[in-house]
Amino acid sequence: MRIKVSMENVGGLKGLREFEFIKGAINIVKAPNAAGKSTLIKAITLCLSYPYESDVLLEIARDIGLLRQLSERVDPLIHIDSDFANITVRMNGKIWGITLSKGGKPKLLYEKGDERFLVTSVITRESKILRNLIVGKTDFKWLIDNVSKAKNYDAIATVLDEERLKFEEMLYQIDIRRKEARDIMERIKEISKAIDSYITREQMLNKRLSEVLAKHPEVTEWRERRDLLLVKIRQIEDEIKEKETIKEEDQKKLDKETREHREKIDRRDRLRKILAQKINEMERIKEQIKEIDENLKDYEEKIKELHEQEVELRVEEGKALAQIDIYENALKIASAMPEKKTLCFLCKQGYLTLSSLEQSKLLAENSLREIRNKIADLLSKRNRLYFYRNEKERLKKELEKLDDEISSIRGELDDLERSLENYERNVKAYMKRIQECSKILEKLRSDIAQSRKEIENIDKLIGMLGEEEKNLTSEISEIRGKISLMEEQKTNELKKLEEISYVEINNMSFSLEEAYKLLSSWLKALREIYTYLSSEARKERIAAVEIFNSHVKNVLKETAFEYLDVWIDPKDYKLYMRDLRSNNEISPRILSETEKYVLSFVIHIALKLSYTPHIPLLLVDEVALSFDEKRKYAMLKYLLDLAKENNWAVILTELGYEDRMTIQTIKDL
Amino acid sequence: MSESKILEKLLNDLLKLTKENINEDELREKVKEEIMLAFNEYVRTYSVGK
Repeated sequence: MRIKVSMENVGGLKGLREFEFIKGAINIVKAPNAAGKSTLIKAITLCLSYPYESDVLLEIARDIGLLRQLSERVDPLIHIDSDFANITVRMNGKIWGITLSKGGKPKLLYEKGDERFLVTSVITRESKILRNLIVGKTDFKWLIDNVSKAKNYDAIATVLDEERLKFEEMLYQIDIRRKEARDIMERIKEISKAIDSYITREQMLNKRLSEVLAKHPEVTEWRERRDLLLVKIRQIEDEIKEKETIKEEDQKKLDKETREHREKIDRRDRLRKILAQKINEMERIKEQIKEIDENLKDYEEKIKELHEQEVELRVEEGKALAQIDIYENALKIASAMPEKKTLCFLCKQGYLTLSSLEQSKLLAENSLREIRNKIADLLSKRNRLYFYRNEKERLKKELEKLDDEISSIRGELDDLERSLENYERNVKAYMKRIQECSKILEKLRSDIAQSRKEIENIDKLIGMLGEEEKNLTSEISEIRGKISLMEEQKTNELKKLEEISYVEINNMSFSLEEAYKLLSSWLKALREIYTYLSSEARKERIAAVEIFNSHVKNVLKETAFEYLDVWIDPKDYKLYMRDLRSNNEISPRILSETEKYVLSFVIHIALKLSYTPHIPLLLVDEVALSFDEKRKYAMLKYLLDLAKENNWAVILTELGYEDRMTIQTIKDL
Repeated sequence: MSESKILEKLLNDLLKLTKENINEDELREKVKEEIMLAFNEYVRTYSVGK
């Protein structure tokens, strides 16, 4: 019997707030301005209508402040000091709940809402229906679409139609290929026809040619002879080619041999010169050795004599050095003496003065110099002897080397001579073969010339038979050429036809005709489904309109508008009004503002009764403010009747004069 | 399944979608999917029967 609503941090109401409403009664929520009356209505509306599948309804929810507009930064239903808000509605043993977070999407906690609740169960001054009436808009198609399933049928039909267009495009492409294939087949037919006509013509010409030839049987013999000669010419030509190759190869070999022969002669001449030089060199060295031998005569005695002389001179040298040493010592002693003289170191009796000592030393030094000169002279003589001996050895080695070189050159010369003798033999052989080839070639060429001459004579004989045969042969040959060309064209066209004759659909190959039939029947079926869905959508709309029209009549009667007839026309889904008193159709534009409010109220009640009577809540936000007392009473009475009849909780907000929010339940009036 | 059965099934599947509370984008995707599935089946059946 009760509907419980709890809200946490919703709108201007901070913290947790709980409300209870009685079903089968009017629940009047009274509070001063900005105390949260509208917030309560909006919170319940959002909780029971979210989520919105329809873009139109989502837009309405944004317009009346249930959800944040895309351009806004503030979530209208979240308390300014909070980051979230929770709303819960409990009724008929079910729970609807929603959590709002700043900047985020609403999170559904329990049951899904019914989006139609937004346009059928909430009567506010911000309602789209009221706003449309105020500005004179009477198009209700958007409403009918959203309260019925018509929009679903339409949406499905639209997608179906879009997909159908894709298949239509496929069919169109296949049809283009079909036309192309037909053109190719037409061309093939024409070519085949032309070929057949040429074949007939060729057969006719061949027959005529046979007739002409039959008159001259010898021609066949000539032709056979001619063919034979042509074969012979081809054979001879092959033989000539073979012989020319042999001749060319031999000539090449001969040229190579000659080139090598010249090189060998040059080498031989060079070697001969070198040999003469080497022999001269050898003679010269032998002369040198002879001279050295002269100088080295009595070499051993001379060396011995020089050695003995050196020994004697070395003794003399030692003596002279000793004398010089003695005189130097004596000079030192005499210099140290006051009398500048010293006792003779030989006789030990007389004295030797400084001057006599210096003179004696000088004499000794001269004597030493002479001795050393003699030693140097002696050593020079001995070195010269040594040089001759070494030089002789060197010359001997050089002589041996020259001897080896001369032997090697002579060996190479012998080889060359032998090779040069071979050349003569080889050249003779090659020349002989080349001459033989030339003779054969001459003979073969003469044979060819003879055969050609014979062919020429045969041709002359055939030619003499007349122009007719010649023309026939030429025409047959021309026709054969044309047939061959057309056969080629036909093959190409057949190839093209094969390439385009099959299409793949879903990885399956179909001939063009099969694919065309398949897609045509598929498209026909899609069109039928589209028509069916469109007709169902229309039926849905008409049913929705009819139920609305039937309810609105009752509501008008109950709200003392029995003189008015209001209806939505199923042809254009526009709202029409008729004053039954004058039986004149009237426009909502001519209604006063209050009448528009009342009409909006009536339409909403009719919508509620038509589409969401199963949701036991009807929310009315301060609409009654505009009503006069009489109509307000009538409206309250009607709402109470509805509440009782449908077991709804009607929640009505009203301006109150107490500081706090109060809820007054009216079960009777 | 025969071709007429495939089309009947497609229509039924599409009608089922009219009853579902899903948003427009999801609905579009589901419809496309149903059509493609039916078309594939239709092609297969046609291919077998040709």
